Amino acid sequence: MSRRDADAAVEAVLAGRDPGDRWPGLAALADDLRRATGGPPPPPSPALVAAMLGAGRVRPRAGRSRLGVVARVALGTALATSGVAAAGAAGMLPAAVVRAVRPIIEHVTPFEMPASGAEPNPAGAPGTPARPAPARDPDHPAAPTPAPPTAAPVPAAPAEAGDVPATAPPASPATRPTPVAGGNSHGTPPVAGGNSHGTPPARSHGEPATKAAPATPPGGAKSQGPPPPSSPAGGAKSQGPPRPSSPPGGSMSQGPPPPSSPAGGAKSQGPPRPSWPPGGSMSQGPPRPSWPPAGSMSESSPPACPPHGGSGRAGATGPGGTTPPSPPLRGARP
Amino acid sequence: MAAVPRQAVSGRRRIGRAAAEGGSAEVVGRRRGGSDQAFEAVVAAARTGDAWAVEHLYSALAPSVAGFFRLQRAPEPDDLTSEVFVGVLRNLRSFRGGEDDFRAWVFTIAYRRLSDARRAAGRRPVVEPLEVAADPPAPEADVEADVDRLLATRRVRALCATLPAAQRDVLLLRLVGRMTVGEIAQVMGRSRGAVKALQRRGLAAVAGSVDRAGVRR
Repeated sequence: MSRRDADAAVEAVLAGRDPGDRWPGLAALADDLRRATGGPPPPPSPALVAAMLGAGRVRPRAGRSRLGVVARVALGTALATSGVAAAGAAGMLPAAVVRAVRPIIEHVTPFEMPASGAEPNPAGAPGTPARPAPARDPDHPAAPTPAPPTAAPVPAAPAEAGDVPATAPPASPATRPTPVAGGNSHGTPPVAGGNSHGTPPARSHGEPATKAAPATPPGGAKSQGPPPPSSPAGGAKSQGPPRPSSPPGGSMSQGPPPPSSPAGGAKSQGPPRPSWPPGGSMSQGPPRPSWPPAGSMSESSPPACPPHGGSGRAGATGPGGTTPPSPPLRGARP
Repeated sequence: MAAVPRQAVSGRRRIGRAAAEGGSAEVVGRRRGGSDQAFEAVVAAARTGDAWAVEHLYSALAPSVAGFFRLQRAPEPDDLTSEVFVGVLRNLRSFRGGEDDFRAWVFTIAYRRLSDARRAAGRRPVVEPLEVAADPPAPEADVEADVDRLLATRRVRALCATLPAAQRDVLLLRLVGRMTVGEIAQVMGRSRGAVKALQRRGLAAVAGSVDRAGVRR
């Protein structure tokens, strides 16, 4: 009994012929099958009835997405990225998370995430936001003070913009084309944000401020000048009352910062973008929010970069963007 | 039922009659003639949503499909049959071919539904199916035919119970679905030689069971 014989017998049965004696039972099996599978059709289910009634209008299955796999992955990635960026901008992410996702966010999106206070400053390393505030920490009175207040009007020293508001705030915007974030850290305590690029979250300034407060150096900002009138509101958290960064003999010593300094409005005005007024107008108006972008971050940052050595991250560079204060910075860290 | 065109009636008679005219199943499966034109008319009407055409297709093939499920001891054979025809109606626009191709296509869907049901049953607690009982006979029903069908079903099920699943699938698809060896090989994901071997072994098992039981009728 070969395969061919079996197939021929089956075909004979299907054709209604006798399969022969080689396969006993095949004819009876075929007959039983014919009877067992005969009879009336089973009652159709409701779904089948509905399909029968709308046979010509059968739609594709509902719920099946028309998006391809690649599109789904791209959409999910975009949503996740934007969500993390938004959370980071809102300051809802812990510092460790911000530190982890910042390179990705800043690389993928045009936005910059705010620097967190806990972030270690890579001393002006490119691609990482500078944190000038800790650099001017009162713990380190010996920290290099980049710009004397008198040098503020000089266009070459926008990095010490903090000095500018102290001495000649109105003049600076016109004379200095590139106001730099770092300036805030020195002159006006509220401006301390130092984060010229991202929106300095209140936390970032608060941490160093709180730590620095007890350890105010003799020549520190605190002893030399009272905090600006506007600072008390945001003092503790956002700006840190003492201007730890202000060097002895810095702008603070010369006088209290002008009340118009944007730092004063710290909290009510939103994240102080003191260092980032496009026209260098720290004192001219409320700080511009750095995030939502409004396409501004990527566009406005270039002017600020040159003085900082092109890193785009502010405070790490000294006046003129030449001397990175990193060594004192690290030492200043508790 | 709505008025049925003569073409549709002839097509329906053709459906299920299989290879009664003679010749091998392969040859019959490729035969084309006037009845195929009638069948194509029915399918074309079903595509446009004509209820009579859809009903014809269902009436012609649903008993075989339901019997196939019953013989396979599938759970809820009637529901599975309905699912099969829901799929048929959903994809009817994409079907191309003649009557035998349509039958093979329907049984291909049925076999896949059966595989799904088997997989689903593997994930659920085992439930012993009830014995197949004939529906209560309608007043005008042929009681003798019903009893005869019930007895035939029991015999076949008892015989299929002795076969391995693969051999049973091949024999039922071959004899009930009237599918060719190539079509069965395609739907089962096996080679033609493997399907022929399964068929031969299944027939040998059937012959052995007949030898042991003697002449049944």
